[in-house]
Amino acid sequence: MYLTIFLVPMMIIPVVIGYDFSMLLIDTGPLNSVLGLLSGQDIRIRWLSEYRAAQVAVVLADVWQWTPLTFLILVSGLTGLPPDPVRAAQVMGATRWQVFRHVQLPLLKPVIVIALVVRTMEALKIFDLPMLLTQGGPGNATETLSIFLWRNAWVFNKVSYAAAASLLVLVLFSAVIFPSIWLLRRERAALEADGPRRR
Amino acid sequence: MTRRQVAFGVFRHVVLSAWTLIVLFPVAWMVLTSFKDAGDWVSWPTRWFPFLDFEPTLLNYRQIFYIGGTTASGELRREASEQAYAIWKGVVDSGVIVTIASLASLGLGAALAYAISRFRTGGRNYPYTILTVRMLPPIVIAIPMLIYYTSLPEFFRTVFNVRVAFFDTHHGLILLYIVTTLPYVIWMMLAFIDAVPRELEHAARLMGASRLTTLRVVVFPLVASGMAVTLLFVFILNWSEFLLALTLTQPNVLTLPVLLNKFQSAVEGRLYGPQAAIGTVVTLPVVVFGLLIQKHLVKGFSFGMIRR
Repeated sequence: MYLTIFLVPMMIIPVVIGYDFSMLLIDTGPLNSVLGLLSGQDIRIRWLSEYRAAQVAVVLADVWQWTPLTFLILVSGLTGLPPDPVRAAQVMGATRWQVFRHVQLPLLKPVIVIALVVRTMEALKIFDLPMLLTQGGPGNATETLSIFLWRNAWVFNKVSYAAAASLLVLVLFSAVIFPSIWLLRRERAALEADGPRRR
Repeated sequence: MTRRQVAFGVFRHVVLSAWTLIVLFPVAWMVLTSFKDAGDWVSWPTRWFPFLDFEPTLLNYRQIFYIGGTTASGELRREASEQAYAIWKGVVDSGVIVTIASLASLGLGAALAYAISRFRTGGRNYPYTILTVRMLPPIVIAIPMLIYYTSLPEFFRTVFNVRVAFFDTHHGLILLYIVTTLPYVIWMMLAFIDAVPRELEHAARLMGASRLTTLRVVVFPLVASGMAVTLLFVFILNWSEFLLALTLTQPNVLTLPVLLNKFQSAVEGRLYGPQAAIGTVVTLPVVVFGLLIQKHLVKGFSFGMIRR
């Protein structure tokens, strides 16, 4: 039941999320209204037109959309854990928290690393949300790499400049990609070596 | 002990319910707004409840599903909030492109994954090499792709003496979508195919079945559900793809995200009502379909990076 609901944000297309959050975040919008109800004051944060607030807004939207993915990865990792160590710990009288903290969490480490790597890769490419919410503004508050390239190519019409920049981005990214692939491989190998898997 | 367990159970549900609220809040707001008339979109204090705070209306839906040129009632209205915003073009274009691209990508990817799984095609590192394609920001590909697509017709004309266009065409976008989603398909299908025991195939082969018959009769039924999940995933990816479509199409081909973006930026003063209606309409089929096969989702969405 909860699982089903938690997956919904991931299935909404980013453009629609852009729409949706621009509705939520207007200064007379429901988010300020809820915050006002909770704090008892009249809150009018101008989410999309103030420097810090715009950054927070983009982060909020992105977290809202992609938490389900990490959630899914972790759930499938958790259900895939070998049952024997948990049972052994229970037999030895460990509480639920102890089982989680000292048995399941260490076993889950490869999965956590994988989730982290996957999410980082995706987050580095972020384009749709800042594009739709703020167009990279106000000023350059939410100008991510992708937005920077896009702006230079199509707004300022400096296509060759943008092409050169994207080559540089390519080089920079490979500096991130190769270590993360190495990490991914290592953690996967650790996962495979984790004794008998349940099927 | 039992009291602690009860407390834990309550705590657990409180946390989960809180997160449920957070997840559903934006969705609920979108659905609500889609039933509001122009005056209620941004009013303060916020109007929460239909019938109590505001009168629900279907006007927004009439606007976006309107067939023909002008407005719901036939003549062009003065107010921007009363004009028609037909989304049919976007729906058709997106539908055609995404369906063909996803199916083609699934077919190719499944075959590739089979080759990699059974014959170690390309060596041990090959799947990871493929994954690097997916990690690049698409904007890096977009600019060269644009130049490539505009110069490719020239090449075809001089070498093969045929006229083909790639920029702003359906097949141009389809080809690109196949390429960009292939890594995901390969990775997901790899996990599903690896889970099929080789012994089954060996047995079929021993009994005299050809390779293709083995594939069709033994392997395919076992990975069919996996293929369905992969298809859904690729479909969502393509359905929501925005950047490449924005760069490589318009005005002939208009996919939904690009069309929606136009509504967002073109009109003075945002039209939250029709936007919310479009959002609801676009989201609903995917969510329903996703919920139908959600059992398989947990397995599929983790990209086969975690084997179960």
